[in-house]
Amino acid sequence: MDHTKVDAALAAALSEPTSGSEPSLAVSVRTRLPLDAVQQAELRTLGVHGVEPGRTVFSATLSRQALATLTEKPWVQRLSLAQRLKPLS
Amino acid sequence: MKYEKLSAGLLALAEDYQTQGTAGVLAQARSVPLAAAPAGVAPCLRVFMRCRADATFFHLPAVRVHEARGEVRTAQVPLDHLDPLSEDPQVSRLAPAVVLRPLMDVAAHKVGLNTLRSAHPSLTGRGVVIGIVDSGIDTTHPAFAGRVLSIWDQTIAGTGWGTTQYGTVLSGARLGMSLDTAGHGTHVAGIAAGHDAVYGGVAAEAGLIIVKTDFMTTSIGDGVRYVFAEAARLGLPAVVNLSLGGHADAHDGSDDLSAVLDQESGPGRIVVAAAGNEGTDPIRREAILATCDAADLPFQVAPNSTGNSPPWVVLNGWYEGAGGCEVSIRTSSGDVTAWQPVITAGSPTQNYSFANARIQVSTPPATVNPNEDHQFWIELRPGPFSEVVQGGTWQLRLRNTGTAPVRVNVWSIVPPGSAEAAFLSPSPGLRIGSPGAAASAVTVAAYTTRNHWQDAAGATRAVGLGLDDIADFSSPGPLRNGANKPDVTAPGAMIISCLSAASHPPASNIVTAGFRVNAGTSMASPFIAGLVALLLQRAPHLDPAAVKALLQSHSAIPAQPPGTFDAHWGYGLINAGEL
Repeated sequence: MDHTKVDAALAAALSEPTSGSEPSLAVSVRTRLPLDAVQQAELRTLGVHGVEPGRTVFSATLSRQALATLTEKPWVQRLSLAQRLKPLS
Repeated sequence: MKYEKLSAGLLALAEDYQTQGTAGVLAQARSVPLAAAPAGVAPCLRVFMRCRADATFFHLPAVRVHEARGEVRTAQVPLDHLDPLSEDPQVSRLAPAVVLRPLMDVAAHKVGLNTLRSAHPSLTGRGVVIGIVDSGIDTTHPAFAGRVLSIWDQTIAGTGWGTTQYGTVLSGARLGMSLDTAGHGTHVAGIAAGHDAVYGGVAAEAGLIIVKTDFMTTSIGDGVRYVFAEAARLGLPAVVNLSLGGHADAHDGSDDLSAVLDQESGPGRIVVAAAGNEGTDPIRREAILATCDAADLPFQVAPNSTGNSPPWVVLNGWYEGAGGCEVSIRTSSGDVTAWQPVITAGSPTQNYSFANARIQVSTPPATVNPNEDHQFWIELRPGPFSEVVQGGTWQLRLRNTGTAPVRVNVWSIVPPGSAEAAFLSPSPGLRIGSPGAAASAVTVAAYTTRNHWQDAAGATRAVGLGLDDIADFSSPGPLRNGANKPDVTAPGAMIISCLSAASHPPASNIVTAGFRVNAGTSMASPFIAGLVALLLQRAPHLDPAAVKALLQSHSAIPAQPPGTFDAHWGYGLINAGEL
């Protein structure tokens, strides 16, 4: 795991101890540049959503192992933990 | 047929009649006054006609012109006589009369929407998609009859949309599988696009694409992509309304949800977002620290005796990337964590356990953030013998160990429904988080057009909001990087709109069958989303910058020169009558 690519909230979530059935985490994946076809295929294989040419921000729900794999990719800029918003009334 | 003489609304009507006959235009009879006609006879349409002042129409006996002279006249025209009337050289323009109605009661009147409709009766949102990413919609409500094109219910397990692999996409007879038990999305959709004689919305003929979301930022971004993709598939422009928000981001539009909105917006693809409802909430504290300076920022956690102490509290702090700060927490019991610097190697999170609290502090390097500013994220959790965070006065401790002054901003976050974690000396402003902070989003503040109403039982209800003024609760800007937000102000209190049959609001909020009152920037945002739909109907390729320029140039703060920006009002209250 390359911790320099993990945002503060995701770092906190990853520091929580895990039990037998490892929960997945909803995250955003931000890449440095629009991806080539091979890199897009790697993202899809890992379960990242909406991988299309030209995009640099993606969503996914991933295991810790998949997150660790992604942080090692040189074209991944950062991973951030999804946050729950609330209706404003 | 001289098509160039027909208004957009009449052109569509004429085309429908030519291709489908009488059956093709009957669906529009509720917005365009079509007189009934015997079988085999063309329905009669009421129109405004621009012509020469001395024009006569004796050669068209089937056309009943109501005035003998004048450059603007009204007439009744059988639809099969539109062709010869448009060909008449005395006539320069034909536009249908429309059925006007009070919209959302007083709100529409107070910002000139009725004036806009009178001047441009064909502007109804027809041919435009309004996307609502919210708690769902009551598809059985008559105000939306026949106009909900699809729903992506992210809360029903299924194969999702595209490659998302979550939620279920519904259309046709399956729309009813999705319920709006919260009622928020139905109320919001009613403001943007509901059709009703009394409490109808702004763009009452727009198509609706609904995302019932789980409110996670990633799901919301996926939902926006879904709306724009579906609208593109239909060949229609779209505006997406986001009446939701939070404070877990950098408050400068650099977060990932804002980045998705910026990437997905463009010509004919507009996002409108609520500013937030934390105008008076003590959720932010700012500290400016010179080199070697330290500060203690006290905050109050609701005591356990109130019964609503939060199960967790987060402090989300940000400061300049060139700075260097250490952080520490003093609990309400007096326990203190070690000073924690920025951690550049290994996990940036340290855990601190005490008898009455468990505290996680994350201090990653600034390079992980798109804005290259430093963030610290501190989670306060219950100790081993409690289910809620211990009440009392806590302290966030900061000290500047860097070589330059720093401006530290901290926001407190608690789960929805919990009591606040309140800073004791809160700082004003900077309360607009994502997605309202997104540069491409039209961010909307709330104005009070009503502060009392009569509920369904006949009792008069009131709230303590100043009438005809910015609502106290409306979150002010600017952003942390100084950028101007919000963009514009619209009616947000107290707004009467559609009631979801699956929701159960307090009886005092129900004004009549099918309609309830509600307040928030959640209500102001869809008002502007509806207006944007009207603008897109007129000019389908408008981009976010053009939409903002139009809205800002037709807004003003009371008693201020046009173009004045204010952190609460943005560029002021919209004047739809001049759009």
